Amino acid sequence: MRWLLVAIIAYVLLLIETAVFLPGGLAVEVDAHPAQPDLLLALGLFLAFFFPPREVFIAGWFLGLASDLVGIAGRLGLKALLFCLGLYLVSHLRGNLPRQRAIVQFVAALAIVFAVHLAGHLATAALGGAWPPVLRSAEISFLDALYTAVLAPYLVWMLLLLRSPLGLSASALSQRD
Amino acid sequence: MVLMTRRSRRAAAHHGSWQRVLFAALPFVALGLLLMPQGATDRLRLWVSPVFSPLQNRTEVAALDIADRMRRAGPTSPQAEADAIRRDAATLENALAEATGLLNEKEQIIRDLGRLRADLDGLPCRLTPARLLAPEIAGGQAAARLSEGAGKGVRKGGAVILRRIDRGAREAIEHGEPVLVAAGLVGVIDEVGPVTSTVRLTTDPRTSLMVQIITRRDGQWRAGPEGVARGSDDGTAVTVQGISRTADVAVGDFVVTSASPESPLPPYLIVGRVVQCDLKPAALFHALVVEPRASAADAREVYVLAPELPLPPSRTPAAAGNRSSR
Repeated sequence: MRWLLVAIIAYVLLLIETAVFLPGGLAVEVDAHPAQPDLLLALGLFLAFFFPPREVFIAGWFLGLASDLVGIAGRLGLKALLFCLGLYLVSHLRGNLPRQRAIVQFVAALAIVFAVHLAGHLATAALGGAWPPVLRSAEISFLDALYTAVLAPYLVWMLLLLRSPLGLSASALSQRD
Repeated sequence: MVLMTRRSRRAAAHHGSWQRVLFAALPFVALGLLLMPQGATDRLRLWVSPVFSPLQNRTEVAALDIADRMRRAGPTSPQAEADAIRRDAATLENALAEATGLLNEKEQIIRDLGRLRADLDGLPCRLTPARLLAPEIAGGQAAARLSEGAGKGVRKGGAVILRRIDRGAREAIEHGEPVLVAAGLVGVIDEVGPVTSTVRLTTDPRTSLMVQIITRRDGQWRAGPEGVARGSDDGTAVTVQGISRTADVAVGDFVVTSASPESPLPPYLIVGRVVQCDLKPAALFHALVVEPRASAADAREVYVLAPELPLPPSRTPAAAGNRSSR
């Protein structure tokens, strides 16, 4: 993995996420919640699909920390933990998945964003001493996950265009481990 | 070639070792960050916000848009800014003082309501907080002036027997409802306007209440005889009539509203204490003078006691049961 390029891509995605997908911008308001895509986690999913698990773990940790620093609620380090564990799990489970198919990317993004965001909401509420609002958290997480899942295939397609600069070998693309 | 292979192997080994170290260390670093105090976390987020979200104003999200305020201020001198801050601080201090006063007042109301509720002992009733309106103030002097004059019989030193409250028909106030303070009965509602009402004080000669004497002899409390209380002619006290000369009544006894079914008021509201008990040789009844326990002159917050309004048929438990069974 070319770490510097991944960091630049992550930073650009972070800028887009914080500047464009805002309430009043491209955030989609559903049931009083401005649903926003988690582009960093989508990037993490791309890495989890095509890179070795240990590298995915480290990249996921830093992506999570960036996401933590951009947020305004919750403890630092929570998303870092959730991102690295979730993406590490995906990189181990990717096995025989046809990762270049859009439907697989859609479903995987839906699942990972939903799981990570729900865990984040519940843990933030619990660490803050409040009773976690499970249903509302699930609704919010699902809306964010759906938005991310819709955009994930396009993001993966664009990142695959950068496969050579990213250090992604042809064997990694076709690999079914 | 051999050299290059060795070098690349060494680089790969080095690469793998730092990854292993990070892989082992990062979860602990995350746990350490998790245990950081929230204040430090927030400060860190504010510091790094220009890096991680340069296009987003973090203070705006946190509703503390100090930057915006400084932008709007324009190119002003530090002195002008200091003056503006001082003005703001004075305004906030005033608001705080006002809020403290209001809070104390509300706390007092809650205490009074609690005490009255406890005294009413589960009686189905509604207590409406109200405020006695100040008499008219003229000329900026701290002296109260009445709207009537000598032409209506008002004399110097005369007592006020009617007061007005800031609650009326809009709050479902009705004629004849008792007006209380925590110490006891102040009067009864006389006339009801749309937004204000007139309270006839217990000392008004036109007020007539069925009362009962409560005596205390040798530490024993007893319910005594019943009589009728009216305001004295000078409007400063209450007199009780109809107490038989054989009844055991003395100065210091309590006078409360009667529990008789004929009494229009709820039972056992404190009216006052006997301050004078005369018995003329040929008289059939005691002549009692009672000092009201609750003085309207000192009171500001009062409570209008009303019977609990019956629920409309659609909101009764039976109707609700019917709806749910359907």
